[in-house]
Amino acid sequence: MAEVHLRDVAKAFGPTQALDGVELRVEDGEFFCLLGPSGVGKTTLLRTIAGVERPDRGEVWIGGRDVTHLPPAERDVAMVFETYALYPHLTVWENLAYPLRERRVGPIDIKRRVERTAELLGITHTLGRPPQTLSGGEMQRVAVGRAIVREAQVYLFDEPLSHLDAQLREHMRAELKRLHREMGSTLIYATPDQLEAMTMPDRVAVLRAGSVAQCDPPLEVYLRPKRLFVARYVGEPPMNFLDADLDASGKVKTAAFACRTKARDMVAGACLVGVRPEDLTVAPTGRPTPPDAVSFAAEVYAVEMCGDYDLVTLTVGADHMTAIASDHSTRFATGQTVNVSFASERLYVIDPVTERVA
Amino acid sequence: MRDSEDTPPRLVKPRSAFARMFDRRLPAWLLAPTGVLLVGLFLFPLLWSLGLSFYRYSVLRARDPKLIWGGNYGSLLGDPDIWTRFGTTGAFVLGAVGLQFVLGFGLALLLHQEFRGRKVVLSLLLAPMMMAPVAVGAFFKFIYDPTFGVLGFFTQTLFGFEVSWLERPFPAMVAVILADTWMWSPFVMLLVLSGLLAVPKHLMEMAQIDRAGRWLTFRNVVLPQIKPLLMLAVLLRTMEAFKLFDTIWVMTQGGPGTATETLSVALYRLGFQYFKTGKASALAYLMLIVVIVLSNSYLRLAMRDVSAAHEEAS
Amino acid sequence: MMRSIRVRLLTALCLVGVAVTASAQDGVTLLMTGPDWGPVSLMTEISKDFTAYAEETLGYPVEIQVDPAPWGSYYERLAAALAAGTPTYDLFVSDSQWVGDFADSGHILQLNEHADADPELQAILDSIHPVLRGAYSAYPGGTENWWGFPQEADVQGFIVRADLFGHEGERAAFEAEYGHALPLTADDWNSVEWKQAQDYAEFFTRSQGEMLAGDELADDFYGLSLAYSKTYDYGTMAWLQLLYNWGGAIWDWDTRRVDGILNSPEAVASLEYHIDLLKYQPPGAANYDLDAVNNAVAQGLVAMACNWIAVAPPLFDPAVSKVADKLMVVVPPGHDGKRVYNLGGQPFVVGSKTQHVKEVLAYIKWWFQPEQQLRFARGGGLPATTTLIGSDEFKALSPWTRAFADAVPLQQDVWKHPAFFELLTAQQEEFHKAVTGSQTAKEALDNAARRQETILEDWGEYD
Repeated sequence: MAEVHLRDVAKAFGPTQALDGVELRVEDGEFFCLLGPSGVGKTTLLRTIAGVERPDRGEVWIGGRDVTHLPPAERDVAMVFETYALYPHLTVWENLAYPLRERRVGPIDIKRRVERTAELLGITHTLGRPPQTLSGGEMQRVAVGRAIVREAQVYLFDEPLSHLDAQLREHMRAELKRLHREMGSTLIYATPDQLEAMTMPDRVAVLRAGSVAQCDPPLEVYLRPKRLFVARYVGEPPMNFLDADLDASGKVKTAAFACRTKARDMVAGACLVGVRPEDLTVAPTGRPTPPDAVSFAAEVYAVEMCGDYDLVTLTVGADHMTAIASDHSTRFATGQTVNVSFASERLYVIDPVTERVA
Repeated sequence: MRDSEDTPPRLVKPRSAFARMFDRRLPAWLLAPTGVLLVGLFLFPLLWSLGLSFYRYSVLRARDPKLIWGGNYGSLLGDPDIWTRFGTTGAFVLGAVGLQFVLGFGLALLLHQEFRGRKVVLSLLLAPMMMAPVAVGAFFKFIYDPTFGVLGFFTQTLFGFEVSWLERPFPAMVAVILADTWMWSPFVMLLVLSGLLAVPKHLMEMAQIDRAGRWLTFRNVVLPQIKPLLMLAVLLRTMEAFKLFDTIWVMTQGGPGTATETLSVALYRLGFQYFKTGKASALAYLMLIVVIVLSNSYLRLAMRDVSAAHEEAS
Repeated sequence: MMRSIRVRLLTALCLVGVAVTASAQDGVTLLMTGPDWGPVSLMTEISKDFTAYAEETLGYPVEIQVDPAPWGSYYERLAAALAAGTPTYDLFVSDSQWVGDFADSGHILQLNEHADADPELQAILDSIHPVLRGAYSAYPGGTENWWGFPQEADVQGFIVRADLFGHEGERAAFEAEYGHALPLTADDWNSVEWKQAQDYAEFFTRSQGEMLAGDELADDFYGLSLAYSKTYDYGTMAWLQLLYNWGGAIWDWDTRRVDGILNSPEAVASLEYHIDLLKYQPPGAANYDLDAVNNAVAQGLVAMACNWIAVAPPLFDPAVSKVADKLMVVVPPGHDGKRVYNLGGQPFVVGSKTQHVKEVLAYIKWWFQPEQQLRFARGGGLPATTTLIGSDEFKALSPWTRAFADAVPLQQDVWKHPAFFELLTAQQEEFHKAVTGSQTAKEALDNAARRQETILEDWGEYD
């Protein structure tokens, strides 16, 4: 049993409130992701769980035990630091074996585990070398290896793939996912990369200014962001936002279009509407649009070709919107007037005061 | 975007031949003062004194220099007193550097902790280092003075006896070592402290998570980080201690007897009391050779880890 | 505008130049150096009057500019300046032992030629006490090669606590215990020998809490203080006082052999005795230099001390001495009917590079006018002219002049060999090892003799 439970955890560094009343429950065996831009408190949160940082307030429970005041050694956690934290004078082999030695694992077992881990991470060729002769990606893999080489109740990964190249990162994502399934331990993973946050974890907590903005499975976070911050942060390219007016019947009206929404429990008046670029359909004027879609005309401001899709920037009144056009048979030119449409249920209505998403 | 065709040709005055030549030689001109200083103040005296060491020559006396080749070196190396001086110097260097190492290290570990008034303590500890060695010598001479000295007063009050520090060979050596240690331990501390401050925080935390004990953390995380600085501290202190003159001269003049008569004192006597300039130069070169050998073996020791690591890697 | 400023500047520069040249023709400055202590500053002070005298006799002012250096490093400073040739000293004070070195090295001017040409100068030489003339002016010793004139004559004196030696209770107690009386007058001291002096030292060495002259002692009190320091020649010079009286010598003055002389049985006995005297002295005495001995006296720590009379005057100054009104200076003890005293003092010599021989000689003649010599003696200086030393006026001048006058005829000088510093260092090192207990007196003198013979051999003395 190793669920991790944080109760109202707060931590300040001088005037900076790094953690501000974090409530979080990570289930046993869960692959859990902390998502947020840098400086939002992800690392502090991991360090608090690991015990290298003491919270100013609140409690940390691991496996049903209050560990708030226990030193790191007694928490049975393994951590991957973003800065690698490899012992510079020891070889990769020794670095991997070190956590095992401290736990009095037998030499044969050590050899087996170190070699298996190295193989898994593709760093077998580096085993005899000192860390400073490795590339950034290799060091990062060794750092991951140091954590997974031993069995721990909880694994804490702090941006473990940030220094890898795209290909290796993709490979490692898959490997980590599989690894987690094999080990079955709780894994808490901090990253600013939403692709990682979307693809790997069972659940993701989006952090904002030291507290949890939303904690849900990835798809839920994507489809149903609960806060403006989450809506804005999750999604690539980011969601488009437009100023709008909401009337009492739940109808919103922007400079470009008007449509009916389900936002009934919101106060009528000025509001913000959002729509994801991938939910927008761009077509040459005159093409028929689906009957239940909202559509409006816009002028093409710029077109960026991104391989399997084009990113089209549109001028809508005084604002810009981006849309993804994945139909390669149609090309758009700058200055061209186009017809833009989207399904009305894909429109998010946001209260500008509470920043809640309806 | 730079579109060079559009901009009108710049109005540049055709430069004189002199100016162009000056430009080309500018680096040489800029280096010249340093070069002159280096040769004039360093290289020339060094070679000149090397030359002198092969002559029987006194700067004070009117006789012409006489070339005797290795005569000075031979008579120095054949002089049992000089070997005794080497021994005395070695004992001093070992004692002083060893003690400074231990104390400096300890102080650094203490001052690495956070506590109230740490900065004040730190700056106070650095004060001895800023003092003139002559002043330190005079200062300690008073401390050890059996009639007026503070130390005698304390031992007398606390333990009921006094040590005649500067009157017996062993205590006198200890006294001189203590004076030098008082002055230079902070230096070792400073270097070690800067090493400690450079130990990555994450490594310490990693060790905590790895359940490494204090000693293992120290050995595996802290020591490798501060080792180069430790070696540097020991190297610098050894070279300095080997040459120490002022403090000893003021405190004991090499006494009692010749108990604290180090090579520098012997060199001073040769050079500035006997005015045997050639022989003094020879002794200075012998000392230089010893210092070079010592520092090279230190450096080799210090480099060993790094090169060993590289060898393993290749 | 610019031009006129430039012209004015040039004119000003020329005027300064003319002024400088003019003053150089107008007067002469004699540059002199000496140790930084009383006798030299006294000479400096008195010599200010020479400027006016020179203007009268030479027709232009001659200024004496003195540039002193501390005693402890004076030799090194002086020798370095002589070796470098700058600054060029017209005159300088040389410790008597260095004269040989400086003469052989060509750094000082031999004066015979000038003395032969100038009866007045010869008369000055003749006026100096023969013992002192031999010590300060002649090199090699015993010849009539003249190299300098006495600046500060100096002998060792015994500084004693007249109040204690005169205390009725102490006198009675001493006589009861030792069967002879404590000396009272200078005449009494003229016949005191070390055997008795040791009794005095033992008698007056007392612990804290005991009574001394009717008062309870707040601190330990000691009978004697001598210099044993390794610094310069301090320890050796204090011991030579005993060596000579025991019948020893530093070397054979003719053959320059040391072995068998310096380590003769008499010499060994004198050194053993000298070291044994440490038991009557304050802690740390093995490192006592001249200042420390003086200090022990000034602090009222000791009953007797041996020191150069030249450094004694401050002891009579109540500002620095607790016992200023309780001291008298007498001659040091003799031994077995023998009374020989160790000579100190310094001549001043003429730098061989001087451009002002005429002015220097004029200055010497002025300095040895009886008037100047008396002023010097009155100020605490120790003069060297036979008439002045022998005069009753001088003997009564200060508390120390009587002892000085009594001791001068009995002086013996030390080496003036060019290898003086090497000989001395060998002597001092071995001596100090014996004093601090790392070897016996016999070993010390054997080693010193062996080392000194090596030095002299290296110098070509035995070729």
